[in-house]
Amino acid sequence: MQIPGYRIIRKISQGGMSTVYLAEQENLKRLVALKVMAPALNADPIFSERFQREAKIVSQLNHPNIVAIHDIGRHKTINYIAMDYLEQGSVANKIRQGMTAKECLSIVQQVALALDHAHTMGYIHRDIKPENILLRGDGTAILSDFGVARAVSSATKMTNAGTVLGTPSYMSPEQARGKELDGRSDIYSLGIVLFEMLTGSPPYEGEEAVAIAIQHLTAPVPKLPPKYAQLQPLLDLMSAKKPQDRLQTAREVADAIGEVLEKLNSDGSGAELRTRKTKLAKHRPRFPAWFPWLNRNRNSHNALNKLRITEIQLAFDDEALTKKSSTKLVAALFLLILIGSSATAYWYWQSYEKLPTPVIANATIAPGTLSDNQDGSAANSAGNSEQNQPTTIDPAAQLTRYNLTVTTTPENAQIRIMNIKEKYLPGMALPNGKYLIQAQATGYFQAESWVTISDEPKTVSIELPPAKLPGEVIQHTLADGSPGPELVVLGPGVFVMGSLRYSDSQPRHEEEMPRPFAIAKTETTFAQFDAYRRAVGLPSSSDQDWGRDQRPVINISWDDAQGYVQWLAANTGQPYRLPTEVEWEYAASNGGNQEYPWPGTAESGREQANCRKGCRSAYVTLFGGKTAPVASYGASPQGLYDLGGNVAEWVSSCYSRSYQVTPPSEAECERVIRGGSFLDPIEELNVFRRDHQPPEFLDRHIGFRVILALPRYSEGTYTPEPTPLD
Amino acid sequence: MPVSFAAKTDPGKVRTNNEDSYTVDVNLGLFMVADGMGGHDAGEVAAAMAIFQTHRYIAAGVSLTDSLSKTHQDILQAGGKNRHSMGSTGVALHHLGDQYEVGWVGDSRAYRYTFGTGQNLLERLTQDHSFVQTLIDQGSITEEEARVHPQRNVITQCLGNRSQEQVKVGKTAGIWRPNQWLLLCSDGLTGELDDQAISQILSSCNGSENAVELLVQAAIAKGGNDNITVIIVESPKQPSWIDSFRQKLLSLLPKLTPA
Repeated sequence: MQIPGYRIIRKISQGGMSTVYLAEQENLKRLVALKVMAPALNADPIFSERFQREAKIVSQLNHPNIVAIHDIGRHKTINYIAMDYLEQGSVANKIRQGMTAKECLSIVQQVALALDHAHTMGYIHRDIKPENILLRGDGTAILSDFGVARAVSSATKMTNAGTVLGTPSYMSPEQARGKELDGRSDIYSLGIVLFEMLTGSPPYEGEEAVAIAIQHLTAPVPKLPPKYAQLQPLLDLMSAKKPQDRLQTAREVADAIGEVLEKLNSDGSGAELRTRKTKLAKHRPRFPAWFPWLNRNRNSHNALNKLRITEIQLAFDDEALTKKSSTKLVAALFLLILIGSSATAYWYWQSYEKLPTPVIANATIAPGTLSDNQDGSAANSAGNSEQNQPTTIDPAAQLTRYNLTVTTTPENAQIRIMNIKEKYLPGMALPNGKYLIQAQATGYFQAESWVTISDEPKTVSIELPPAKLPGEVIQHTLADGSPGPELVVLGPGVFVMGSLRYSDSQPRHEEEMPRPFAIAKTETTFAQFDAYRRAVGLPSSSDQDWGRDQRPVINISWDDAQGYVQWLAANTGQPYRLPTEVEWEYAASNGGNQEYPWPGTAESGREQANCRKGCRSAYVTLFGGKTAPVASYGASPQGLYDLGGNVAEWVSSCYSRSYQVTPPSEAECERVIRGGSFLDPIEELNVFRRDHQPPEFLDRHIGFRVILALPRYSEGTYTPEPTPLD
Repeated sequence: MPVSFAAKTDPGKVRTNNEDSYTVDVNLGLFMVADGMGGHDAGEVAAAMAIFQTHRYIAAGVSLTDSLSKTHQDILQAGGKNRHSMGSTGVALHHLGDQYEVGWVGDSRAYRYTFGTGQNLLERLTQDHSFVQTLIDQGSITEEEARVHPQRNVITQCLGNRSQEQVKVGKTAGIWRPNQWLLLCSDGLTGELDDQAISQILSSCNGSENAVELLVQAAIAKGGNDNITVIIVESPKQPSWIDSFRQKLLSLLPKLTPA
C-alpha cells in the first residue's frame, strides 16, 4: 500500500475497521501513526463520508489530552488519518503490566479533562476504552479515536458477528438501548475503564457480546475489591445505570478525582471520598439527582411520594429552571399536574396543607355527596379509584376537631391515614372529613376503609383478613351452603407477556401485578353455571348432548359469563370477576416461565390436555371432538387444570391487533378468548394465542373460568421471587 | 403438488453492489434468501456460497438444519483459506407435500400470510438473531425503539462467523393451508417496512408477482438503504370449490350493495 507523502515503516495494530501503521511523514521527517480505514468499508459511501467529516471535527479539538491530528486525506480509495505517534502504547498494554491506584486515577482524571473539552465542543466520544487511551513517556494520557465509533455504529453491518457490537465491554446502558447519547455516556464508560485499570479486567464478561451488553443494562454497578473500597463511591457516581444518577459533567469527574488524589498525597491513608461527597452536596444542593444517597432516606413506601421526588428532580435537572426558586416550584407543580389524576389530587392536598383556608376541591367530592358512600361498598370503590382522594372539610366546622380511634384485629396492625400528611396516633384529633384508613400487619392482607368524621368522636374497628399466600387454595361457600369454585392464589409478580409467534401477541413487554389474585382450578362447570341459571331464572344452554354436571359450561356468550361472575360476587360477597388477559397469561405461563400451560414443549403436554391433534385424548375422534369433564387431565405446576384445550376461555379484556394498539371502547370491542379448545392442535394451546369474538357470540368450544381479586399483602408478608432474566 | 412463487432482488438506492442472493428450486421444494457481509466482494461470495452449499446438501437429502450448519463450516473454511472474513445470513424454506420447514441464521426473515378468511393475517415465523432482538426479548427495548437503534443491523449469528464453531440454526415448521403465502426476505425489506406496512401491501396486491414488485418498490421508496430481496411462495393447497365460490360471492358483495 502506498500513500503519497508517507513512508510506511510497520504495522502497529489491526482492528476490524482500520489498520494503524507506523509511518514517516516525509517532508517533516517525523514519525506519525497512520490510521487507514479498512478498504472494505471504503466501498460504503455513507461510511466514507462520515469518516471524513468526523475526522475533520476531531481536528478542531485542541487539548493536551487529545491526540493531535496532522493530516486527514484520501488517496484513491483509501481514507487515512495521520496523527501523533505515541510509543508507549495504550492503557490496554499498561493494564497487563499492573497499575497503582494513583496512576489509574491520574489517567482517568486526564481523560475526564479531555472529555470535558470535547463535550463542551459538542462532541461525544462514544467509544471510551483502554485501547483508545494512549500514553506518553511522562505519563500523560492521550485520548484518541474520536468520532470514528460514531460512524461505525450507524448504517454499516460489520464483517464479523463476533465484533459486531463495537466494544460492548464499556458500553453505557443508554448506548445499548440505542438512545440519544450525551456526555454522561462517556462518563459511564470511563468509570468502567477505571474499574478495569484497578482490577485488571472489565467488570462484565460473557461468552457472547450480547450477554455483556445486557449486563450493562441490568447488572448492578460492579463492586471494587476491598482494598479500593474508598473509591467505590466515585465508581458509583461515574457508572450509575441512570445518566441522571451520575456526575453530570466530565469536569465534575476531574474535580472529584482531584480531591481524592489530594487526599492520597497528603495523608496517604486513602482518600475519604465521603468528605468530598458532603462538601459537594452542600456546595450544590440544587442538583439532588447527582447524589443518590441523599435520596435514599427519602424513599418512602408511598408510591406517590416516590413519584413526587423523581418529578421534582426532573424539574431541577433542567439548568434553566434552577435560576429562581419560584420558577422551580411552579415547574415542579406543573409537572405534577401533568402526571395525571393522582398527582392532581396530590396538588389539591398540597394546596390544602399550605393555605390558611381549606380548599374545597370540586363538586363531586364536596362533603354532602361524600356522606352517601361510607358503608362497606365504599371500601370497594375506594380501592378502585386509588386512595388519594383529597380530604374535604366543611369550612364552618373546620376549627372543631374530633378524636379518631382505630382498633384492629389483629391488635398490632400498623395504621396509616392515606389522604392526610399527619401520622396516625390513637385518639388523634381530626376535623370533620373523610379519611382513608389503611391497616397492615405481617401475615395479613392489607385492609383499607373510608371513615367519615362528622361532629363527633369516632371509633372504627378494622379486621384484617389473614393472608393467603401463593399456592394456597381458597373456597367460599354460596348462600345456599353449597361450595363455590376452588381457587389457587397466584402473584404478585412481574412477567414478560407476549411472543413473536403471532402478530397480535407482539411486542413482548413487561406486565406487573402488584396484587395477588386467586384463579379457579377448573373451567366453570355446567353444575356451577346451572345453579346460577336456576337462581335467576335463565333458560339453560345446550350441552350438545355431551353431558352436563362436571363438563365445562359451553354455548354461553361473554355477556353470560359476565352475568355469572356478577351473580357469584353478589352471592358470596367476594370480588369475583373474569380474569384479564394479563392475569390469564400470567397463570398459564406460570409467571412467564412456560410457553404452554405445562413445562417444556408442545409435545410434553400430550397427557395434559384435551385437544384435536397431538394430545392423548379419549374425547376426540376422527369425526370430531367434544369436551371432557373438567380436570380429566394433568394439572399445571400450580395445580390448575385445562388452561390449554378442552374449552377455550373468555377473558374480560378487549381485543386489539397488537398490545400496542389501543382497543376500541368497552362498548364496541370484541372480547379475547384464550387457551385453545378441543378443536385445536396441541401447538395452538400455547399461552400466547389470542382468539376473539363479539361479546354476544356463543359456541360449543368456548367457556370460561373465574378469578377472585385479592387485596395487597401487608409489608413483610410475602416477597416475590426476583424475575428471572431470560 | 405444483407450487407457484414470485421472487425479486434489487440493490436498493444506496449500494452499488448486491450482496443478497436467492434460489428457487421447485423440484426440490427449496427456496432461500441469503444476505452476505464482508469486504471487497466477500459478501457476494459468502451469500452465493450459502445458497449453493445449502442447495447441494438439501439435494443430497440432508435435513434443513444440518444443511445450514454444514454450510457454516464450509464458509468458515473458505474464508480461512483466503484469510478473509466473510459471512452470510440465510433463511430457507423447504417443503415436502403439505408440510414445510423454515430454517434461519441471522436477520433474514420468513413470514406467513393468510388471507381470504375475512381477516388477513401476517405472522412472523422467524426470530432475528440480532442484537436488538435480544434486547427486545430481554425486555430492555420495544419493537419501535429497535427500528431506530443505531445497531439495528448488527447480528449475533451468521453463516461463516469466525467466532462461532457452531451456528444455532433457528427452525420452525408448519402445514400448508389454502390461501397461504410464505414470504422470505432480507433485512433490506424489513429495515424499511414494518410488519404492518408489509401486511397492508400484501392485502392490497394483485397476486404474488405483483406483491413482490410492490414490496420492493415500497422499500426503495422508503430509502432503499440496503439490498432488498423478497420471495413469495404460494400454498400448493387449493381452496375447496365451495370456499372459492364463497369468496367470489363475498368479493362481489360490495359491488352489489349500493354505496
